Amino acid sequence: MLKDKAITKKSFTTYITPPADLYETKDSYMIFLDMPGVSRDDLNVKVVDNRLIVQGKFEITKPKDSEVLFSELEKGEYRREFILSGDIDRNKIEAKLVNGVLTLTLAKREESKEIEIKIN
Amino acid sequence: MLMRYSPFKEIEMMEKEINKMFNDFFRSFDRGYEYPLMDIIDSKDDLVIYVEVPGVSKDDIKVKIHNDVLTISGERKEPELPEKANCLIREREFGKFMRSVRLPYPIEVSKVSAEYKDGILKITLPKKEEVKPKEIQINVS
Repeated sequence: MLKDKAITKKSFTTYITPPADLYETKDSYMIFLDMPGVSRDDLNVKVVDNRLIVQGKFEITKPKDSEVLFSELEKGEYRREFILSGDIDRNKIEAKLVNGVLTLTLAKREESKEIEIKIN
Repeated sequence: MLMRYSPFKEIEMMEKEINKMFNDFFRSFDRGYEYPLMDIIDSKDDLVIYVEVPGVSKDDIKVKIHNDVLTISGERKEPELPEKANCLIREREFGKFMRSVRLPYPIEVSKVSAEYKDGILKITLPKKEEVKPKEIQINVS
């Protein structure tokens, strides 16, 4: 039976979703993502249209002739997307990676910042 | 019926028994979510343990060995937030953690080393000489 190669060849990549915490301050949003085992070279953060995409890779190179006795760590590719709301300034996004935690600071646009109005 | 003679079958069975004992011991910890998560790899001369502790600073992690039990404990502190930060989503967990593991082989405690990188703690425990797998030389006379 001839199978159409285009249909039978599919690649399913399952991604690990890193847990995230999201905070909002007066002039920015802050996102914290747990990405243990991901070093700066294996991390990719980009903005496409109004989406913020975080991708990372975590692998453990086992020494030769070794046997895994017990495995709980999730290895592979991390991926998470965030849709940026209109009040975020795309050009002012900062990223910091410390101890496997990625901290993203997204500055709000000037017009969207909170201004306190003084009462006379 | 002819069966192939496997002289190492007994040793293989013993290894399987040890693995089973080890795994069974861990199943008793399966009440809920045990944190931090770990991987344990047997690499002939050492036991290598990887522990996932993102966001924990090196000074907040303690690794202790007592008899044949390895204990990893510490605290995951919340990040410093600017004042008046409003939490919109919270998925990560914080606080103190502790997990103990029974080591399946006797370890050369003085030679244990630990490395911490990118939120992963890697503990290398060299096995005592007598339990390292050894190849036996076959002499042909």
